[in-house]
Amino acid sequence: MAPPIVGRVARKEMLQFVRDGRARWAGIIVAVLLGVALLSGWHHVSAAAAEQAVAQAATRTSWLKQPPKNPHSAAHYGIYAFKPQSWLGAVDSGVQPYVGVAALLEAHVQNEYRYRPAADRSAAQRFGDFTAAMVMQVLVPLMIVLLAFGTIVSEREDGTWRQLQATGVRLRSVLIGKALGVSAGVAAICIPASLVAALILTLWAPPGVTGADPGRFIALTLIYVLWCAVWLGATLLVSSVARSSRTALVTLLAVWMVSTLAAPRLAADVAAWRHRTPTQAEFQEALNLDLSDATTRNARLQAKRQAVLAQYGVSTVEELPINFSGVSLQEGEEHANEVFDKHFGGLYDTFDRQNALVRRAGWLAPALALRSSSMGLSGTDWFQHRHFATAAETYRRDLQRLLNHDVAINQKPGQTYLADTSFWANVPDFTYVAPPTADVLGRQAGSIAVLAVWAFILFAVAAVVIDRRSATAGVA
Amino acid sequence: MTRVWRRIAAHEWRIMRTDGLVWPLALLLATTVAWGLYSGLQSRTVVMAGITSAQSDESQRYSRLQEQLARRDAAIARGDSQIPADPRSASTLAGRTGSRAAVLPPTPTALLSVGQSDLLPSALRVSSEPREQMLAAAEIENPHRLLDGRFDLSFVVVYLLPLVVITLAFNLLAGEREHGTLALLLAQPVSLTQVVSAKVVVRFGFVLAVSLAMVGAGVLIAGLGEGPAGAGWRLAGWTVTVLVYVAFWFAVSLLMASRGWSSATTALATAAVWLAAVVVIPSLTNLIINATYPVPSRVELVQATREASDSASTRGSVLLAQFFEDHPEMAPVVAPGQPAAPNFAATRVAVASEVARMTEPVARRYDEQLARQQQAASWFKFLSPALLAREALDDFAGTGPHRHADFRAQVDRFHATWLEYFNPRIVQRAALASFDDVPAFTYTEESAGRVLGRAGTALTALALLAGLCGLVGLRRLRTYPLTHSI
Repeated sequence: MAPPIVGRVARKEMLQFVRDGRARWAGIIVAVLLGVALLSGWHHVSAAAAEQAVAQAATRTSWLKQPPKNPHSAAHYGIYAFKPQSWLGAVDSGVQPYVGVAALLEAHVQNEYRYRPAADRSAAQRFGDFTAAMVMQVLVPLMIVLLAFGTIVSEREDGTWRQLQATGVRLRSVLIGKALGVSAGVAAICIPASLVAALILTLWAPPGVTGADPGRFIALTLIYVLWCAVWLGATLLVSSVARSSRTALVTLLAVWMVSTLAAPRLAADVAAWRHRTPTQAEFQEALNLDLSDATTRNARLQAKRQAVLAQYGVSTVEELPINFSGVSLQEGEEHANEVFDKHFGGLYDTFDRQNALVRRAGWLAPALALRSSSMGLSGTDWFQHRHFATAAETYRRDLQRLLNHDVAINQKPGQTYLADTSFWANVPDFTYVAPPTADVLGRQAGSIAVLAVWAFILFAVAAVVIDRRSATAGVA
Repeated sequence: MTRVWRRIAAHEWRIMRTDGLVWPLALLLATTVAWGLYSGLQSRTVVMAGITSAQSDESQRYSRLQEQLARRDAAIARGDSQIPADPRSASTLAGRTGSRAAVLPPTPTALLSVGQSDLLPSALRVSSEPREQMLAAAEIENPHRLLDGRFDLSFVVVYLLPLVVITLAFNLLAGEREHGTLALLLAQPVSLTQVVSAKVVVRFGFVLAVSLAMVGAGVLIAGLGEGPAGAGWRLAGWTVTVLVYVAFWFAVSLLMASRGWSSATTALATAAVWLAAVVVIPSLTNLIINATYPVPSRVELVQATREASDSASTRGSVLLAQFFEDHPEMAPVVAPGQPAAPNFAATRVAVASEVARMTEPVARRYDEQLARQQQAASWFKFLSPALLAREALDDFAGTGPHRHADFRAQVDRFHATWLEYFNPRIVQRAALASFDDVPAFTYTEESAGRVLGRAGTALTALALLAGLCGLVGLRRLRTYPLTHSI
């Protein structure tokens, strides 16, 4: 049972906020901005999801409606993969504006995702998307600072701290009471907002979005609660040790500035310096060099020819019951796939390593941990783009295998082989399943631990410091 | 400037010099400026590397073509029965083999701002492939890094410099009043305006001296590189932008200081203005522009192109016949009673032209909507000094959206010329006389007047805002409460 003093202090803090015009206005502004951000995020995701669904259906129709043609021509015709929208992209749009939306799945080539939305937007885009995540990451910490920077230090300045000590209450209880009071103020804004968000997103979940799982939403809420706790802990700690409320405020604002503005950029710079991203030209050149490596390709083809001949117990390609051109096409694909895995895999691993470094830097600046897990849980980080791209690429490879197999079986030497229109339906539709919530959560465990440990340490230190300082407390 | 004013300024400088906060602040500023320059230099190196390899790729392809031609000439001279195909044929050169690199060279001042150069490519490859495909090329970058933005000089100037200004200036008057020295000071034959202006000017000079000295040193060390001409006016314009932007933040600080609040409240209020101007309004503006003039994602365009090309491909022979009807001069001369040899290249040209014709309305709708959005953005930028400053800084560094848009427009026109040049030659199965006849692209730099006009508008608006805040602040000083009552 908490001592009654805790409740009384918390009540006094809350009353103070309600009566303080600054706090009231800050709260109202943040709440309104949060609402606007959520609504527009929801609107954007709904529109984009509808567009994606229409296009994905249309590309399927185009595929099915193909006239009779050779399956390899169809392989060149290809099927488009359109990036689906993530349900919680409405809360945190993450890297969505900076990754392409469409890739053609065709023969011989692993295409990059083209058309980054940001390239079609004004330069204001680079100041950031106005999302609920941005409000929670940038503005809510400031609100916590504003509500709480003076909560202990100004009692010292006003001389009320000494009186409080004289009453014999445990200062730690006062600290807890103040923490609860400030939390109630923040909760008064964030809880309704998150309830409204949950309601909107559940009731009007845009059809065709991925990752629409309450588990993700709950985890996302949890990390933001931890985030608020980190800031509350930091603010109370600074307020307990600062010599004046002005110092407390300036210190906290500086911490905010470094953690929100400088840290992500610095961490990204360092990560790019440690794990260099190749330029487009370098990448393309290395890729083309391996693709056009005729020696390896011919050796592979030779080996495959021997294997197939042995399999059918014949000595020449002409005697084979199947058409070797289909086998040869597929062998070319297999060679290209290895090259793609090496180069695209290498490039994507570089991005992964850069992002992992930034995540690890979260131990120094928890804002980095929060940002990456917020995007991760929202399904809008690089990892989940790669997951989608990998799924689409796997589909492309299966598609090629199926078509080349058909060429091998049905094409007769010296004849033109055209597959029937009905044949195209043998190709299964491309359906994408987002990684399960458990996987996503598992990936974010480290970041969640960072936030929890930071919150715990800050509160613990504040609790220790407040008792230590109690002996010498006085107006600085 | 009177002697009194100078004495106040000198005294103010003496106080500042001995203040424990000022030198760490100067060090911080210098460090961030250095980091920003380094970041810009890195970015310029990457852009240059992309351009160089695009150009060397082109020259390698052409030297291979030269070798092929030499082999062919030798075969002809020897009177071989098998003569290799002519590498100068229009259909070979119009495709990827003969494609030209269209590059946007960085300006000499590119290291001052990364701008949009990490997002929009500075090298495109022009061939007969469709326009949309050509323009969709993108530079490789970790999307998380694109999202975070760079720690470049623009970032330091737009975000951090104002905070340095606020830290130095929030206490212009409140501190003296709280200590009771303000009333004492004004008992001397000086006016409040003189006191305030001396304080502002000293701080202003300090901020500018530290940051510009660092930038100057950095530019001298890093060098401006071999870009197109215009280093002088670009550097001057960039410096003036920094000057005006810093002046704006001093004017805001003065305005806030003149309210007569306590120093803590003044600091908070100025910081709130900063938050609104630099973080919230730009991001809200982005939201409003995207909501008012949404550029539909390219998904629709992709699908439209695909449907058009399906429809055109099935009508290949019809289109070819139509094409020859429209261009009788290119129609093959066939002996009566003989079937014409199939001309696949001509069919491809006819189909590609038809696809371009069919997708043109969709593509135009995109371009028009993009233009409307840019138009809206050019109005909305007046809502935030940060947007104004960023635009001018990027413009002077030549990394902004306008120069990139200009480059893309020029490449687009060049692509049209390319098709106009090659299509008839492909249809007629012609070969070029020499590889030098293949059209080549050179970016025509925007005129200084155009850049200055554009950036000048932003700068004027910023200067007006600064002037307005400063004037209101100075006027308010007349009724400034000189004594502090607790």
